[in-house]
Parts: sequence; C-alpha cells; structure tokens
Amino acid sequence: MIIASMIVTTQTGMAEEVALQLKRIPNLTTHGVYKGDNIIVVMEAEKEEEMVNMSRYIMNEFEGILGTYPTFIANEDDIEETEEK
Amino acid sequence: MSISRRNFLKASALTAAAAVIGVEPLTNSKVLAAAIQEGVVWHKTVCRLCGVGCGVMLGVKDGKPFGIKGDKENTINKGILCVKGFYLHRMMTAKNRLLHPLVRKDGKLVKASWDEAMNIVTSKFKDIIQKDGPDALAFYGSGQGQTEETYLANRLFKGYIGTNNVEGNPRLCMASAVGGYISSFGADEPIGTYQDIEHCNLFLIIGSNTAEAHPVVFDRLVQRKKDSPSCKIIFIDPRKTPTNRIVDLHLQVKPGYDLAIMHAIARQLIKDGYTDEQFIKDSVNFSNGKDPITYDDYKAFLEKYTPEYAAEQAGIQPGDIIKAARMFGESPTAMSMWCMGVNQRVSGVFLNNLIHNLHLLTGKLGKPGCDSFSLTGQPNACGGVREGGALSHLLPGHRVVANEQHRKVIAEIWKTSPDKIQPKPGKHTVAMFEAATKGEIKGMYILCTNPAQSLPNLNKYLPGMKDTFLVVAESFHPTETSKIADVVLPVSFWGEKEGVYGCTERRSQHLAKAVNPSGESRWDGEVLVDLAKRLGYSKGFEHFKSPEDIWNEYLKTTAGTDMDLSGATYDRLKKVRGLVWPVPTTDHPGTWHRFTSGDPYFPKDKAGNRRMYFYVKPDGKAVIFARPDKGPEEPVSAEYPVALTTGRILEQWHTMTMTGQIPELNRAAPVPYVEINPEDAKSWGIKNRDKVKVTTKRGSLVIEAKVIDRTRKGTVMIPWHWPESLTNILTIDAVDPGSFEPEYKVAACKVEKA
Repeated sequence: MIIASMIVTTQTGMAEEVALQLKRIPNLTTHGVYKGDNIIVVMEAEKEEEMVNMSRYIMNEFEGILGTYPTFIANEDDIEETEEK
Repeated sequence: MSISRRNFLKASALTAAAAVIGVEPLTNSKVLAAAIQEGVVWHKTVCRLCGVGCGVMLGVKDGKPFGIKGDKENTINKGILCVKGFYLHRMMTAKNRLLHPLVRKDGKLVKASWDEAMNIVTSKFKDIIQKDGPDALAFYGSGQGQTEETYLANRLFKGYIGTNNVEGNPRLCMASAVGGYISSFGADEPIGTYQDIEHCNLFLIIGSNTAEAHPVVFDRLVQRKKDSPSCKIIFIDPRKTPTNRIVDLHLQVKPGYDLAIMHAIARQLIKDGYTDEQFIKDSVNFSNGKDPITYDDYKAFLEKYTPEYAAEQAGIQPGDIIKAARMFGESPTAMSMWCMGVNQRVSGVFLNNLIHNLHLLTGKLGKPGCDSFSLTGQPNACGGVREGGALSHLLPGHRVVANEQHRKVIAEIWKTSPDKIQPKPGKHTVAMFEAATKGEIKGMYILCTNPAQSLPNLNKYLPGMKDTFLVVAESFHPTETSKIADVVLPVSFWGEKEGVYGCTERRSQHLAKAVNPSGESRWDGEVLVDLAKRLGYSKGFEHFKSPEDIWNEYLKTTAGTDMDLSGATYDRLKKVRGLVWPVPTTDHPGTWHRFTSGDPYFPKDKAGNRRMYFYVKPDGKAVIFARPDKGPEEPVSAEYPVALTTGRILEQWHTMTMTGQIPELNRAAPVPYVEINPEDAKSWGIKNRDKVKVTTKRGSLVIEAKVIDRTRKGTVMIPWHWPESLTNILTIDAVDPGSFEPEYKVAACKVEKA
C-alpha cells in the first residue's frame, strides 16, 4: 500500500467546493482547507497498479484547481509495525 | 496498543502536509507523532530533477530508501514538491539501475569487472592520445553531475590530457541564457533570486511552460497572485498550457517570431514615458552588436518596430503588444522569466538581450521584485557547468581559456603546467559530435547524460557516435547512449553520494549521501580519479579522497571573483539550506541582488551615486542591444507548411531515464503524441488518437495525434521524452552563432494521416 499526502491549491474562494468534489475520489481523503485555498489530501493506493495519475486526474477533472503539490510518499510494506508502550 | 502500518504512514503524510502549510499537526496521538520519527532517518538533500533546486528530505530505514518529503525549511519550495520529485526514492531502486560494468565484446555489451573495464578505457584513451593527439578525445558532461564530478572531469581533460573538448548538455539548454547575461550585464546568471517573486507585481513569462516544467516556481507565482490581487502575468508563448490558468494576457505568437515583439514593447515603453532616465544615464550603454551607439540611435532603430509590424510578424493583435508594454511600464516592479522557448533558438542570445533591454530601460533590476530571471532546466547546470567552467571555452570561476592570466591562475590551482591548457576553445557540442561523425574525435567519455536521444537531427550524429570509442558513466541502463557504448561504467545515483548542486538562483546546496551505492556502482569522482591515475596523472589527483576535498579546491577557483563561494564550506552547507553567491566569507549570509550595495564586491567608490554598478563591465554599465529581429532558421514552406515545436510534460523529465521507471508517471501520458490544433485536425482529416506521420527535411515519425486546443493553428508540438519515439530525428541542428545552442524549438514539418 502506497500512502501519500498532497496539497491541492485552488483559485481564491473555491477551496471548499473543490474539497467537496475531491471527496468522491476513491482512496482519497481530504483533511480540511487551510490558509485560504490549500486542501490537504491523503491518498492510498495498492502498489503501483492502482495509483494511477492521481495528480493529473485531479488537475484535469476538477475546475478551479491551480496546482497539486506532493509533500510525502512512502510504501506501507517498507516499514515495521510500531508498538505503543 | 499497536499502530497499523497504514495509520502510521497516514500520520506521517498528514504531518508533512500540515508542516508545509504551517498548521498544527493534524493528528493528536503522541504515539503516532513519536512513531513518525522512529526508525526512519531523514537526510537533507536537493531534488535530482529540474533546476528549481527544491529541498528534499530522503527517508532511510534499515539502509534502504523509505520515502520522500519536501523540506519545509528550504526557502525555495518550503516543503512542497512536484509529482516527479515525489518518486525520487523509487528511482534509486528502479529496475534499470546498472549494477556492474559492461564492455562490448563481439558486438554485445557483457558484464565485466571494474578493473577490466577501466583497463580497456585507459588503454584506448592512451592509444588515441599517442596516435591522434589529445584533441581526438572529448568529454561530454551534464547539468546533472555534481559540481565535484564535473570539476574533476574538466580538470583532467583540460588540465592534464590537454584538450578543451569539454562540453556538457547545458550547451543544449542554457547556453543562450549565458550569452545573454554575459553580453548584457557582463557576467553569467541572474542578478536577483526567487525572493523577488514575493515582491513582484508584474511577471513577464516568455517561452516557458512554468506550470509543467517548473511546478514549484509556478506555485510561488500562484501564491503571489493570491497575496497581491493587483499582481498580473503576461505570457508570450506559441501554446496555451497549464500556465495559462494564472495568466492575465497571453500573446500566442508564431514559433520563432517574438523578437520584434520585445522591440515593440521597448519602443512603447519609451513612447509612453515609462523609462528610468536616471538609471539609463548612470548604468546603461547602447550597442548595435558591433559598435557603441547612442540612446537616440537606439530610439531610431526601434521606430521600425511598431506594434503593427511586430504583431504581423508574430501573428497576434497590435493592441496586445501595447497592453503588455503598459502593464510592464505601469507596474513598479517587474520580473521576467523564460526558459527553453527563448534559449533553444538560433537567435537565443539576441532574445535574451531583448528581455534584459526592458529591465534596463525601466530600471526594474537590482531591487526587490525586479529581475530578468532565467529559469534553468537541470539541477546543476548553473553550478557544475556554468560556474564550474565545464564548457569548451570556459574555466572555473567565470574564466575563459582564451585568457592567459586565467589559464595561469587555474593551472596553479590544478597543479599543472599553464601550457597544458590550450588557449583555443575546444569544439562546442554540435561541432564535437560532428567531429565524431568525421572521425576526428575518436574517443569520448560521457557522464550522466544521454546524447543519443537528446542531440538534434539525430540521424546525422548517431552513426558517428557508434563509430567513436564511447565510454558512458551512468546509473541506468539501457539508455539510447549506453546501448551504443563500448564501455558502460555503473556509477552511484542521487542519495548514494554526497556533493553540491547550484540551482537557478545562484544558490549552492549540499546533497547528503543517505545510502550506500547500489551493486558495484562507484561514485563518479572516484572513477575519474582512478582514470587519471591509470593515465599517468597520479600526482595531480591522488590527494582527492572525498567530494569535500574536491569542493575545497574548487572554492579556491572562485575566490575574489564575482561568483565567490569561499564562504560556502561543506561544514556550512550541511547546516543551511544553501548559500547564494557571492558569499566571500564563512560569516557572509549570501547576496540577494548583485551589482548593488548589498553585493560584497560592489565598488562604492567607483559607483558614487549610482544604484547599480556592473563591476564586471569596464565602466560599470550594462548594455542595451539594438539586435535585428530574426525569424527561425527553417521557416514554413509550401512543402513543409506547419511549424513544429518541441516541449515537455509535467510527469516526465528529459529522456525518461529516471521518470520512465515510475509506472504512475508513465500512465499519465503512456504513448508519445503530437499536439494538433482542432481546426488543423479537422482540415487535415485527423481525429484524436489517429496515427499521423510528421515529416521534416531530416526524417519522419509516426505518432499518435492529440487533438487539443493548445498550439496555435499551423503549429504542432511534440514532447521529446520518449526513447521509443525519437523526436530529435525531426529537429534542426542549426545553432545560435553566439551560444552554439541548437534551435530545438522551431522547425518546418508536414503532417499527414499515417
């Protein structure tokens, strides 16, 4: 499982509306609108086969988006489970 | 309680995004917060791809690449990345990593030991030098090699082997910008930095699809427009691109016909009274390119360039030129940005000059929010090749081989005889590969680049490359170049070695070594020192034990120059997010604007009351050039009636050696395509996804049609990334006479249904 976060920047005043639209994308969760027009999203995808061009898809399919900027990516399979003590 | 791996990673992802925006972490779990740090070591480094210079944190767990996050402390990207940089850690372990040396035997590349491979290279190079002289050898490097690597190669070939046939792929992308800066301002590289973006209210973007080629710079423009509602953007480009999303005025010009527009804007600025006459008097000379002229001569020269004339040349509306001039003139600040659309032209240097002219006329230079700012295509084109002097006419520290004193200074630092460095420049890139086709160059060492895909007019140069004894030092195989090599040396990739990159804004940044080299790969510097020793130059190279040793010697070549890096020691660079030269001492913070009072080399005594003093020019004055407007080398004709331009897409970079290994990126644009304007497609009987044949005088390509309203009517565009569909079979190898940069951006073609 690949997990990644991204900031989606929208045109002024459109972030809430775009965030609502993004919610309909499978395996993508939005985590709020910050500082005006920045939406934090986290994406999950099974291996390489399913994580298909998320950022281009978002850029092309939704009105009002100016840019998508990844901030983090890692593969779930590469990390050990962490125990809380 | 256990935390699932998935939740752990989600928390990490959220925390990274929140940190970038500058809000509190979005998870309250202390356990998660602690877990984020556990077992993963994050190394501060710089993106391996374009020239923006984004700070990247490379996560390593158990000695293996684990993940990537933007470096929120980095002043350039402040934590965000583009979709390509996102996958850097996956490129490190890509399936096409070359893990052992290869040598050609019986026509095939087969696995060999390092010793066997290096013996073959040494023996062949010695043989060539003995029989045909040093100029039968050449080095072809890259704006992606680290400064230390490029410096070593330059030192070996120019200072010891004794040939100036040292080139690098920045000749194909940035040479015209270099020529423009040197001729207009006296020295290479921008006067300001990215910091000017946040002070600027008028951007002129020309020949750059910033949104796709430099996404993080684009985001800074987006943020600036949001922060300053009066901020406007003028865009001069033959295509509508994602950059148009934030553009206020688009001049959609015919490819190759924009020089007259720049003159027309200059003319309008003068007529409307937007010039800074005091600045012009203090800091500007005028020239026709051969002789000095007066300001009045220049005004007379411009009279030809009415908005109507320029508009007719470029195929746009005269009113838009007047509007652009007034937007530029009225704004108290202005910043121009450009890239390959300006540089990859037979008149690339001229066009660079004409951009600079607008800033010199209005004095919008050397102060917050004002600059004539060239965007860069590769991460270390500025640092390693331009500053390191690794082109055929250059020496390190903005020096030239033709200058005897420069040769003496460098020879002393290089511990070689000044006579060993030839005074005559070597062959520029296109001439070098042409010499290979003629058999004049018999051996070539290629470091970290892929000319068998990236040279223009490939059909002309590939046979010569195949006949030449070709040594390719690469992290990946096969590439179009490694496939035809005689020896392929596996070298460490990004994250497996340390070094320094110098990006667009004169900023030098340290790249950490985070993991050990893959397989049998070795650091390029180690390979070059090994080669030098085997060639008999042990004494001149044996003291280099680490990248820092090389960097320390390189710093000596910059001391006292306009690009002084003396204060940018490894110790300091490891701690900070880069330093912007000139930075002459270890307590100097770096320089925002050159040639102004904030520049440590600004000569206050000579400058007097002048705000800017271009101290690299004899009288401290920059030059406004009255350059003639010149069209493309190959205009459209009855036989080839369509203009062909080439370009880039967001998800791929250069020849796809790295980004082509990432399935997610490949799926964004899985097949090569040609963009065709819908009106053209209709009249040519072509539908979206039809196979079409694009033909120029040099060759043909069958490729998928993408019918889309991006190029203007009569123009098609092909991205040049895909190795299975070599766009450069079609491009022209005519070069700018000053920069020797080829005109990739304009050719004449015909398009028919395949």
